[in-house]
Amino acid sequence: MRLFDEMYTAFKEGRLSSDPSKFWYQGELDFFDNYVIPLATKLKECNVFGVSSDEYLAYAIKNRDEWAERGEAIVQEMLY
Amino acid sequence: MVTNNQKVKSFLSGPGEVDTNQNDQPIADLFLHCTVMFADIAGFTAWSSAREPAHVFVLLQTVYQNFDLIAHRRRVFKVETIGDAYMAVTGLPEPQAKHASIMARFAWDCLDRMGQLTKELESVLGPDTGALSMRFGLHSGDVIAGVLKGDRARFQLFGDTVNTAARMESTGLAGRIQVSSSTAEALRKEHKAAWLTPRHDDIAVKGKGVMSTYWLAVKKTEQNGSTGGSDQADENEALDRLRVLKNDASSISRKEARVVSWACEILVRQIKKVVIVHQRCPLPAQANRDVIFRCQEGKICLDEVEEAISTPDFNPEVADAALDFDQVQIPKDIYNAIQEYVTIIAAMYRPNKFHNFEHACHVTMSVAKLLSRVVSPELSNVQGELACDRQIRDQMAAQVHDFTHGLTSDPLATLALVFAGLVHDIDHQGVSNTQLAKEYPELADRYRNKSVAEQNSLDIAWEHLMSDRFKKMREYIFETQEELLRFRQLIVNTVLATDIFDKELNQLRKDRWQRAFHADLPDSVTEPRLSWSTSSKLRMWPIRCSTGISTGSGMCVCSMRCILPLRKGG
Repeated sequence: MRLFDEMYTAFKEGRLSSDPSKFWYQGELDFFDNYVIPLATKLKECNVFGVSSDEYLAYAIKNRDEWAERGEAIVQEMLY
Repeated sequence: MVTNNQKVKSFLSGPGEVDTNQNDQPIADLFLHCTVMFADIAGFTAWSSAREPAHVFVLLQTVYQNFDLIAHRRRVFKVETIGDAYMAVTGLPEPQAKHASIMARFAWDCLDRMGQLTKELESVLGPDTGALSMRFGLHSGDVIAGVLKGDRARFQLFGDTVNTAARMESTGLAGRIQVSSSTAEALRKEHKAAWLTPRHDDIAVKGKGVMSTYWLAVKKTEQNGSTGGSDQADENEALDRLRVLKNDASSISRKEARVVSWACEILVRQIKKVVIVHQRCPLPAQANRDVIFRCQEGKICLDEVEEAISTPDFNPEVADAALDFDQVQIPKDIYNAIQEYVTIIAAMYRPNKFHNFEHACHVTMSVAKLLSRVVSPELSNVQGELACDRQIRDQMAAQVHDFTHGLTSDPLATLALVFAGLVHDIDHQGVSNTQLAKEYPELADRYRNKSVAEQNSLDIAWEHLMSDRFKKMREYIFETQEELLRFRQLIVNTVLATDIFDKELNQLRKDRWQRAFHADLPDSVTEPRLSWSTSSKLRMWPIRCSTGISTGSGMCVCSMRCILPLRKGG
């Protein structure tokens, strides 16, 4: 939300070429798929958190699913 | 003949134990005129997910202890707490003619106290703490109260009144007290109608259908005094410093000052871990302790990016010493210098919507939480035969040290990671590196158009750290020039790893991860690598690993909030 606000402000000031509201929903999904979930998978693989090493991956997947379901509506809310 | 009512009172006034001679006799009674209150912290799940368990307990304990004091004063019966929910009742075990207004005053006092406590705790528990508030729900009616016998027998309430009170809380709003029409009616009878405002929208209550409810606001004249104390003094001090540094008093809020105090405490905690090791395991005295480093002309942070950073070999004395960090008393002048440094850092952040000092604190908090969850040998908890065998104990600790690349037993590394979190977005302009390069071509040139914002943040943080005013602080934290250089190496590589949009750096990280954690690929940097197991903390290194922290492994803690629970409810 705060990052969206910051980027939307930059867009309105002509400091960002694309309107973030046009790509935010998909952008967040891509961020989950290409960055957050692979990162959480690495945390699980490296096992550095012991028995709770898979916890972060489970949260990441759950949050990604929640965003997939509610994200579009949230973006609309953020615009108002 | 002992009545049920007397049995309940006897249980509550006694040690809370069930009389085994009366096992067949239930301890329960119906109390006709009661008001039940539920209170729940809104946003608790999200707040607690980013914190260490000890901090979660500090919050709950502080809040509950304060509520208990109010309950005692107002003659309210506290029933129990369940996680972040607090439950209380009036009208039992002794009848109370004004059970509704007593409970209303209690809920109002608790709401007010919660507001004060969260502000006070923000400097200890970090950002967002001040924004926590509670939902309160009240309902009046008859209640069955008693003790369910069995293991851990305890006093409990049952019945529809309890369920409805819980619904009043769950359908309420943060920072407000919602009461049912039956509580409203009881309040009117107690001449407190002025405290009620009808809620405009009806609420759908499971099992009850649509209900009309009221918001409660107790009209009272007494004012609560200032909280006072040393936290307040620290906050005022931070506020004054920020105002001077930013030269704009109007833009500084108390909240900002509280967050600065919190960040300072986080850093102090890590510094203590470094210092206790110096005190317990001193290095030979050096004649000239000139702990200072400035980048050579023409060199930039990017030149210091490393494939791997060496960490010290395991030293059991260091691991033992670090456990006692709380015994370190930081001299007042050093403590002041740390506060001043953190305040300067805070002032160097721009008031962006996202990339501001509060964001830096969120990242720092995530770093601290991750570090606290890295597996570590609890040397003080090893029991039985193992505790007697120092050699076995040290061997276990050494294995964990290797497995975690020394993170859990290298206080300088943990200090560097926390420090990196605090400084990583200093002077961020609220735009991407591409836009930054367009707006400030000379800055882009200086940093060869690579990770411009990140290198700029690093340089600003380092320049201040190396200034004369912090000479004494540096000498206190870093015992040798080598320590200072290793600290720099760690923060430079960590902060540059937060640039997740540079394709080249990203590819380097991916390759490094492959080499570090997939033994089937050739490893040109370190050898041999770890062998992984998912079954045990302590049985996963048939091959002793090299000592090295894989730098910039893509573990950007900025994204930590994406892998913590999203739930916004209480």
